Amino acid sequence: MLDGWGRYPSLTGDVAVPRHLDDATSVMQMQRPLIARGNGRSYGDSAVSPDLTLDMRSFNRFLDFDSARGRLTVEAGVLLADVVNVALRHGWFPPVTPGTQFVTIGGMVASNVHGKNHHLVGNFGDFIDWIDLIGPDGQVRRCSRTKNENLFNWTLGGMGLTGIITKVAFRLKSVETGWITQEVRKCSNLSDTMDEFEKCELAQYSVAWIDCLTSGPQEGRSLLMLGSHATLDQFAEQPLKDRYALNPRLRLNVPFDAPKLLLSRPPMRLFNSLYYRFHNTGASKSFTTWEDFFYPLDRLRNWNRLYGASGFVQVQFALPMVSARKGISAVLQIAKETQASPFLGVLKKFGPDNSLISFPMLGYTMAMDLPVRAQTFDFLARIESEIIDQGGRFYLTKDSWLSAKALRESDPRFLAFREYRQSSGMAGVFESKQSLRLGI
Amino acid sequence: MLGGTSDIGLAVARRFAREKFQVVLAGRSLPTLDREAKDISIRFDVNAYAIQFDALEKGSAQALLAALTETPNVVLCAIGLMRDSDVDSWDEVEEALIMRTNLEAPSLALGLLAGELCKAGSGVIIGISSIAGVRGRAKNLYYTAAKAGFIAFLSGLRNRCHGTGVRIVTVLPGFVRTKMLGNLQTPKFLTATPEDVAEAVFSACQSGRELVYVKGVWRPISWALRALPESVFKRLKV
Repeated sequence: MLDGWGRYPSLTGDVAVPRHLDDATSVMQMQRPLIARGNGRSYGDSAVSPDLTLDMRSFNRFLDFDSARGRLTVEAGVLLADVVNVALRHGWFPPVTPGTQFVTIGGMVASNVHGKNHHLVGNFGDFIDWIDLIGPDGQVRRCSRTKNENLFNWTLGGMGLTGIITKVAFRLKSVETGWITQEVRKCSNLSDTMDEFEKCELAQYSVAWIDCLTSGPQEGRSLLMLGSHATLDQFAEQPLKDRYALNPRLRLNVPFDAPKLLLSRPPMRLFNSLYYRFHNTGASKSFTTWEDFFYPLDRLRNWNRLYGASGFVQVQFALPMVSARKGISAVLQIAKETQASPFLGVLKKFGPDNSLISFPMLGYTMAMDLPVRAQTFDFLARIESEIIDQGGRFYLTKDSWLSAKALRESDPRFLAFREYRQSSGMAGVFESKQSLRLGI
Repeated sequence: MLGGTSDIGLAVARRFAREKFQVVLAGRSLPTLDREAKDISIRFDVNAYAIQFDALEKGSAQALLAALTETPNVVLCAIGLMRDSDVDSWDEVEEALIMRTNLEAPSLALGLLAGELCKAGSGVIIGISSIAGVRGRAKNLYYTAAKAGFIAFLSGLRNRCHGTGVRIVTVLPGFVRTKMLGNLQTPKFLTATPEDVAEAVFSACQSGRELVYVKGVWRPISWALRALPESVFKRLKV
């Protein structure tokens, strides 16, 4: 029984668990359409095959770590959480991180993940030196910016459809501590939020949690969270006991203590409870740990179960700068009209993106989740056309419902992707339920 | 750790590495073992390396001892081999290999290493036997016999090492999700992960416990199996 993080849809299929390269290449000899699967954190069916799924989590060795230069080489099944465990105590951190640390490096490549810092540094792919993949012929190939460039570029964001990723070599970011200086600003509506995004040039990371349930002058009110890696000199006034914030029991004693923005129950009015915590202060500054800043939702293990057995869908779309404000407002309106009740909308700014097939585009991205109910599909159908009209596109890592037609219209790059897969013999060999649905 | 790429062996090695033990992996496929050792050294920030060791080769235990740079504090033996055998497919070579791999080779190696540890005056030797070895039975006849013999060997070794400061731990896993178990579907409450075994082994080293069942539910089951009289047991198909 396999499903995505949204627990919708579920499928039955065969699963193979390769531990060594020989296992993986011998699976290829079975000549069954297959897809590699990491830790199953994509929301839909991109890591589920109706035929054979390769669970790569046992393919998870650290191969090399240059702790002086921050270069890591790993097998694809290594978890980001393990990378942080290994690297942070030597003063290194992932250069780009998604909202959970429980993803595999292979999965991060396949989705070409972005973080709260895309507008400054780009995608995870920008920090990769090379990737090894098993191709449709069962052979392992190394690709990079200077070797097998086409394969490299189509693999970043290629949803695992260019081959089985086996090894990845990438660069880490140097950090002085494991602490983050965090600032939270209340924004009264969508316009205010986006103005604030445009202003905050100095913060390394920025994200806004949007209230999707208010309308009128308060539509799109938000909490904008800004963060930067804390430097040692910011702690000059008191000795720093746990420099890399690796020991959860040691707490930094500072004047401003970070409020905990944790989900304690699955509230539809979550945003209100968070918002009013800050109602006395227009903005608040604090120190917080890397874990609390980057991965607040990881605290709740299996938080997807809070939504119940019917699961939920997440939608994430990107809109170009010129239509972002209008498009997001329209989406919030549609949510109201269809009573789809999304909550926990997350807004991020994107910088320019030159990748062949990755999701980000210069502009803004919004992610929302909704419980699966009757109204949900009405909402999805309507925002599908809205986003296409506004020149935007959808993130396949969050997708479980998009139609092939909508993908073609929103993202014509996938036509070239399909041609590439067909001419390279990858089509029919590497397929997921998603790739079949979307015709890529 | 004797036993190369054994899932249980590697899980135990990692558990000890987590506690900052230096790790030596001894086994047959050196390139694979080198990768495992490298992974352990990166993950846990400890010194880890691999040594070529084929327990079935004559003189291999002596060679291993010579290759070790220092006497280990803990020796884990996870050498084992199981092949599904039934009454109709008797193969002398296969069955001899099963007996040698599960009894002769581990016993010779541990006997020699125990001598070294006794000279040092301290240490722990851990032998992975199996629930299968608590009583002779028809299923996997030779594997079962070898595992039973190994339990007796460890008991004898314990007797010999008593008073020297060296402890012997006998581990009796039931079903464990490993390569050896393969695709066999087993009841969840009886099946452990290699990490469960590793945790139990580490605990035993701390607490001084000598007999470890993984999962614990196998202890009463094993007692019941041994308590049955032969006249009853011989009729059963377990």
